[in-house]
Amino acid sequence: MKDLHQIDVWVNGRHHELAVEARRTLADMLRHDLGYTGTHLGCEHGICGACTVILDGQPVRACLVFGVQADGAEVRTVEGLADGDVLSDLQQAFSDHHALQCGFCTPGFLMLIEAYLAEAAPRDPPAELTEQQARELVASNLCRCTGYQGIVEAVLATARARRAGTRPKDET
Amino acid sequence: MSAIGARLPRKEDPRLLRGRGRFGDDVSVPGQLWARVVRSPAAHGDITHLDVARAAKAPQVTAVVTAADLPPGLVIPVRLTVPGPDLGHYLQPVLAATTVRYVGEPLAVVIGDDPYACEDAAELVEIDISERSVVLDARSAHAPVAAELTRGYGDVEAAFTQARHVVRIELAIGRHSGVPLEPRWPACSAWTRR
Repeated sequence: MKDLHQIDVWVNGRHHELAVEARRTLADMLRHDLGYTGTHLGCEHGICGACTVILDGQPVRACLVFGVQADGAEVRTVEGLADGDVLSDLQQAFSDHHALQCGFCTPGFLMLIEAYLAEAAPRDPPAELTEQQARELVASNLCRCTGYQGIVEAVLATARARRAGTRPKDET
Repeated sequence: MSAIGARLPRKEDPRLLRGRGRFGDDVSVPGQLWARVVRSPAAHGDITHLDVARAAKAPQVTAVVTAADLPPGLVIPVRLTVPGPDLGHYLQPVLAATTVRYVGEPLAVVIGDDPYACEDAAELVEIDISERSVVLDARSAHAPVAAELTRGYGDVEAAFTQARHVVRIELAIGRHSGVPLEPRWPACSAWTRR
């Protein structure tokens, strides 16, 4: 009775082949079928953004996308940000600026911001980011314990460092 | 070097930033079941019909629990009690039995093997509610006083009588409620399934 589809998906560069029910969300597929539990589900209807992942370069709410829609696509999740033991510049900036507390919303914010900054990157140097733009960007997602000040600071620090070709920590 | 005012690095940051935290939905126990709460679509009303028979027979459903399955009068206790007034009359039931008092009040819980199956079955629960008028503001409530509190030390009346100035103010306090982004969750492995 289940409407199963065979799909191919690349998550953080790793190839997965699996059968997934047509109605299964990308979030449930990533978390429960493939074990990428770093992607979190808060509201499950597109409001909170905790489940944000990068699908073929675009930030998407993984609770509003079906797993089958990722067939043939490249997905980036929070597990793919760090380079081995070294946190990415954005992850490091989050820690430096106390942009996280409980960590539940953090993966969604990281993927949202990473996708946004990556879009600015092809320009050389990357476009300058204003505080207003950073605030509009993070308004896409909800944080319920830390607040947005530290997140905005981390976004700005990362954007500045990428423009200068350094890591955020080098600044301080 | 003083830690006061300094930005102290947090030990938990690296794992949280890598998505290696362990949150509720990351926990998986053998024989785990899932629950879906069936909620009131009405803000206030009398429950005239609540039938879970079809939901209980749905595939992969283990049980559907309603107030009828719970001890009568079971209420959710207040964790931070105020000494003095008895708030017992105002406590909310675990599952609504006869009356619903807000949109989203739990009416039944569907338990089963798979969250998608539980969600399907929850839609099979038949609910009829005879709606009643709603109160949208505490000041327009029929009985505007929920609890009266009086606290004082010494001879309060004398102190006010002898005071040079007496200031009377009315304070409105916004409702506070914990709304964490991570949904509330219990994970239990209390019995062996047959």
